Amino acid sequence: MNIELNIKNLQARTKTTEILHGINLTVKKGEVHAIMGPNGSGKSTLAQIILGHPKFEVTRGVLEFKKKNLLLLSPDQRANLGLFLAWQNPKTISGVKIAPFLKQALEAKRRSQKSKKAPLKVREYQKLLLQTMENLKMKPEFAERYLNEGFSGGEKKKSEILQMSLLKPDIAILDEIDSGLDVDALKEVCQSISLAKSENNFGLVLITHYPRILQYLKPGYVHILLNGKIVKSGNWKLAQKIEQQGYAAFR
Amino acid sequence: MPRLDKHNKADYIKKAPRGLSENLVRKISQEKKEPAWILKLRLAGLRSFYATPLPGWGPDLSALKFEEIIYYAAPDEIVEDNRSWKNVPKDIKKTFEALGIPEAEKKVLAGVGAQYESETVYHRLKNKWEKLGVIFEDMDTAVQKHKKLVQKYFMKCVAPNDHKFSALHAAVWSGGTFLYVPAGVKVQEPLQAYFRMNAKNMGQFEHTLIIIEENAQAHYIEGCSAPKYGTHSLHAGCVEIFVKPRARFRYSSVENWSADTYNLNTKRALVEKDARMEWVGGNMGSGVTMLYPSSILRGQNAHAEHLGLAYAGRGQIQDTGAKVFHAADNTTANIVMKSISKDGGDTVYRGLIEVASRAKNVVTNVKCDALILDKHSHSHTIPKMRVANPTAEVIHEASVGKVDEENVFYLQTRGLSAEEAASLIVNGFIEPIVKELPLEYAVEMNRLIEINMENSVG
Amino acid sequence: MANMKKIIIKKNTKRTLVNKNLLDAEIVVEKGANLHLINLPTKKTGRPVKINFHIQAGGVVRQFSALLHSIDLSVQVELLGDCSVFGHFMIYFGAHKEKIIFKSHTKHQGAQTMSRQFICGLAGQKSIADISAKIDISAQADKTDALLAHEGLLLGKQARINSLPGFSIHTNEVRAVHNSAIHYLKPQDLFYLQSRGLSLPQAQKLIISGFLKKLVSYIQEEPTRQETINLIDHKLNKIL
Repeated sequence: MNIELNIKNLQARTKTTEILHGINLTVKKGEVHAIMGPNGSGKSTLAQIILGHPKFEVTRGVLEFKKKNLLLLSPDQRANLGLFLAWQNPKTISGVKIAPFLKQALEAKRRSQKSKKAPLKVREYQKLLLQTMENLKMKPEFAERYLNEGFSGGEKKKSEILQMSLLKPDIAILDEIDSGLDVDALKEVCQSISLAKSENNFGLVLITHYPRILQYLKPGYVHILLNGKIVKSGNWKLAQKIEQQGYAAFR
Repeated sequence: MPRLDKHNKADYIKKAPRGLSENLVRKISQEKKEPAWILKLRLAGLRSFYATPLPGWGPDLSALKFEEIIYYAAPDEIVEDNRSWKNVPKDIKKTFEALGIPEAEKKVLAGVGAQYESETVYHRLKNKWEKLGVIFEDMDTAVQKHKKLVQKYFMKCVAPNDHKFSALHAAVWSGGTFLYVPAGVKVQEPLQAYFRMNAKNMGQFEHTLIIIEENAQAHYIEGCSAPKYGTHSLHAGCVEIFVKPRARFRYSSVENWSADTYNLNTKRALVEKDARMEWVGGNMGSGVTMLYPSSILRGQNAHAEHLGLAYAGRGQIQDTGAKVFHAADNTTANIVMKSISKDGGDTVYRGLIEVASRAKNVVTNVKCDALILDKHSHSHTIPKMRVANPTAEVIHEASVGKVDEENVFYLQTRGLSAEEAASLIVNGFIEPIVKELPLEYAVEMNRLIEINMENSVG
Repeated sequence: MANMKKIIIKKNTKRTLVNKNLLDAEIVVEKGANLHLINLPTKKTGRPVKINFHIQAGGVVRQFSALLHSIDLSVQVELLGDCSVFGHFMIYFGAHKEKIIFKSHTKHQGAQTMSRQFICGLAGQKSIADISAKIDISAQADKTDALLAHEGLLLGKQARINSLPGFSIHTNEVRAVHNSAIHYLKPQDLFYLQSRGLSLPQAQKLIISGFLKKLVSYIQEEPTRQETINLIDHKLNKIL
């Protein structure tokens, strides 16, 4: 089955402002897409709307994943269907440790898939968690920390990638995963993403406004989002054009 | 509701009289064969009770009908030797099994004291600690066996005329725990006590007296439960703790009384030089609770830690807090209070930090946070600070709000349902306190939150 | 309340008032009106003073108070209309035997109302400061945003600061925070300045001056701002 995220003429708004003016996008599992645009173009909003942020209202259009109408599903139902959103500014949840939290998330996903093995045995989970963390070159103590509390920018991104690697989505949307990272941290994070992708071949949507990250994760498709609309789509050469000419060329 | 609402049949309703009188007080003293000084204290308490009005602040206590309450009753079956589990009556055993005592007994506990109605039924102390001189008795037995020790300390920390309910307590107290840890002895396993109210209109007036001698260490856990009833039950117990120089003591309690009780306890500790006192408390049940554990830091470098959690559901008022009196140099205190109100429940944090003018270099931190889960519920914070010394540092932070929608959404994008997400966030909110509670209570607290989180989002 | 003055700030107008004699006042801030009130008593106030605000929809009150003499001041605020705002920036300074009593009661009744109360003060020698601030958020006051912060410095062995903040909240769509800190001049701060060549009294003066004056920038009227700074300096010079 061709697993795909299908967006047709999507229009959305907040209580006061129209933000998306008709987005058209199709992402298949295995593909790498980049959505680029200046600040305020609506990139993060699009990502959040795909997962169902309560602040936004979809006024028109189609939002489908695996042929299911996402507009009828709650955010967790969309997540359990196989979508993952790595946040630009991950929320801090006090008093909740990463390890037990991820176990709960994994079990929620299994339950949604009506898998018989839904409740995870502690040992099985620990093994899985430690293995995943090792692959991502993360110290085991990291999982004992409270979810994003007191994390540096780099640690927050790593936390998102760890979650993604464990939950194994079919399509992952990474919202500015490169923001706030220095050169070394960016390289590490991209290596982790590549590793995870090579294991599960999920579809990747990279939201960014710097072409930097695309050197590590080469997209097959590049889309330019400007004022709530995709004004141009192309291959990675388009990204190069942006690097040289900026977004002005597309206004 | 994961509260123990079962109860055992009790016949003493027929026998025990309702209401308060000098005769009743004398009868209690007589039946217990108490020394004269205790009777004297009881009568002084009674006089003070009649003379003192209800407090002019706090929740409404006017529905309390003092004349309808049974102040003293003993179960039909009196246990002769209360040292062996085997001798405990079957009826009562069943109740204890529901409370999980045998289990606890098998595990790490040093000894278990249990109070059923107003008489101690079962009590046992592990040989090991007995040999070291640790005394862990029911209060009535201690009055007979350790006369001098008890007389030295009894109601010297909380005086009978402190307020109306300490006066009532002095008059009709019965049962409770006496814990004495000799100098230098460090009790590793926590000591526990269970007690519960049973018959309608039972009042519970147990007295817990704890003396931790110099450089000693112990942890005492008090937990309780009461069955549901239509009429009011009153709980006016008293906990007095003496923490001598260089000693360390932790008092953990979880109060999960049924929804129609008035929980008006007085808990106070006198903390001496270089000593450390820790209060860890969870207040879940009961209709109306007024509880302000106090630490009087009398010796230099004394430290008090107050960690508290209050949950108020439908029809509940949790009026709790902490009081710390800094009466000596370099004393410090740390207070962390978390409260949750839901379904119209009301939580109140009432605190007092007082720094005496002679107390130099005091450092105190208070953090109280409240979560209001829906539009019908309420929260109040009234933290008082009175500072009379210019070298003090007294800091207080408080915040009130609801579960953040964005945080819920974040967790939903990880596949958790909205309810699961809210429940996780609320559990995370109280985690700093829950992690200090004894394990069984921590589990119960988390379960309570989960069950109550249904329909709480939106 | 013989001297109770009734003041109405008319719809959509903007006014600045300076209250030096500290009269009792009943102030109505009409829809969309903007009031900047500066309380600057120049001497000890014999009797208790009451200032009551009734703020209607979209009304904004920015109050600044400098309590440099003995006083008993009560401020009552009703945020009646939606989106109304109340800000109070207050400094108190007791240097000898002053008794400074301040009580505020802010009631959030409309939706999306905001209150910001910042109090900074100093109690030296034998002075006493009694600061209590109560905030009520009613069940209809959705999306209230309330902040109360009190920072007090104790300078004298017989000085006292009592702080009694309080929240009474009856809905959950709120953001309410209060912070209280009562402390003293940190030796490290003093040492830092001394290591730059200042004498101890100079260092103390500098830190205290900075502490008290940080709120003074909220006075929007230039001559009054300068006057306030002068009054603070004058008082500081007398004790240090």
